[in-house]
Amino acid sequence: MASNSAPRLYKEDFTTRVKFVLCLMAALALMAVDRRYGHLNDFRIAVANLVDPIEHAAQLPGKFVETAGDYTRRQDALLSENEALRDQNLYLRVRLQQLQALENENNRLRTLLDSPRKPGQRVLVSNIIGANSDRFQQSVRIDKGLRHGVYEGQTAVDAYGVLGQVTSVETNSAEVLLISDVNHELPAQILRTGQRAVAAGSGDNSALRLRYLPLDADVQIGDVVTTSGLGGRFPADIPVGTVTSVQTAPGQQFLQVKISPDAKLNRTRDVVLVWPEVPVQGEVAASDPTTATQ
Amino acid sequence: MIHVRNWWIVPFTVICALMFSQLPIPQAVTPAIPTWTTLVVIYWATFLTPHFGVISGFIIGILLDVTDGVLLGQNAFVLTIIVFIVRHQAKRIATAPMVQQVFLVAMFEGVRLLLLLAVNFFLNRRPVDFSTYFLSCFTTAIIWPWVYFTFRQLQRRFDLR
Repeated sequence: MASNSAPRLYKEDFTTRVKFVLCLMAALALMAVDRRYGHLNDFRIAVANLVDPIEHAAQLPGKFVETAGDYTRRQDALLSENEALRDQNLYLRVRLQQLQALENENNRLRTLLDSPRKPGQRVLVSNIIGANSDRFQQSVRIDKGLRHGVYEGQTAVDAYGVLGQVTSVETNSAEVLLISDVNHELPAQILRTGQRAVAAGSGDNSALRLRYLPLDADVQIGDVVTTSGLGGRFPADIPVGTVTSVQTAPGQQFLQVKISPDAKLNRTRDVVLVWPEVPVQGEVAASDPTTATQ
Repeated sequence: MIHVRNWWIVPFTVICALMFSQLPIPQAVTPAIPTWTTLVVIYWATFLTPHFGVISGFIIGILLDVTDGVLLGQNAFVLTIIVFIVRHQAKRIATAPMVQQVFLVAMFEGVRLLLLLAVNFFLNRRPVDFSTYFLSCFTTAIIWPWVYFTFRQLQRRFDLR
């Protein structure tokens, strides 16, 4: 500022430079430690606790608009929506009855095969509270965290299919990396043939690539792709997507297969966190997820 | 560090900027959203130079890292450098006509994005969509006059010097 005299300017310049170098070194050290030794979890959680109110406040305007929309909606629109939901509920209840019968049968058959598994999957519904300003990953922030038992690596789904996995957890929020992220890969299988492959994100919300399928693999457009459960991170048999194109490229060892994800990656508001199936005690061999899904 | 009356205005604007950057918006338009934190950092580093130094930039960077859930330190690294450059050129920026200021802001945002790209190159991470990566240069620069006049009013009203 104008009030600075010349000698003082020099001194300030020097201390600024020292501070500058120290800050740069601190930032580099943080990056190295965070990258090499995993997340600096305690530090991150401590800072996140400070920022937490900000994040939750940021979703207030959206919530307000939503509530206002609810109030101003007309009664007949509400009535017809209610009716549609009631129909859907009835339909889903009937499906559920059939599923329960199937589940019983499945359990009986599994017992015969000596690999019983407890079917009850624990789930938790959470809301997306913010998008991400980082341009290097496709992820969303959700409003459930350590306090609700969320853990790193947990599977997140929406009503239609697998959405992603939790990559960092704080007290009241967590970051979910979407399956469409360029760095995300997930073990998948084609439901019709049981052929295993890897569903890799392409950075595009509406298309994943199915990698490592040999040229002679039986893949057709419209084939349903689910998680395979290999690797043990994602539970098996969650819908991933549908095959939309199968191509062979000259000189390539594998088929070029594209699938469109079932999950509404860019439109969903609700994220459901899934806990893995709990293997029945005493069945150690069957509890290994890589062998249990074969 | 800041021994000024009404110093809380500065952290308050930073918090607002962080909140704005967290607003849930469709992913398709994310790259076109102005970088609010850059604007705030450039303003205070230019017009409150004695009290807004590289350490402030560093702290804001850490907060940004945590709210974005990315590797700790990358935004801190980048914003430290940006604050240093802006402080170095503060008088020139402050006395430049508005059109030039807009170009300078675009340049600073461009430098920030380039630095971020470099850092992420070493981390083996590619941008989600490279064609829109530098889009926020333009939007951030276009917003600058409004930010400038609003903050000017704030600074006068609360007598921040």
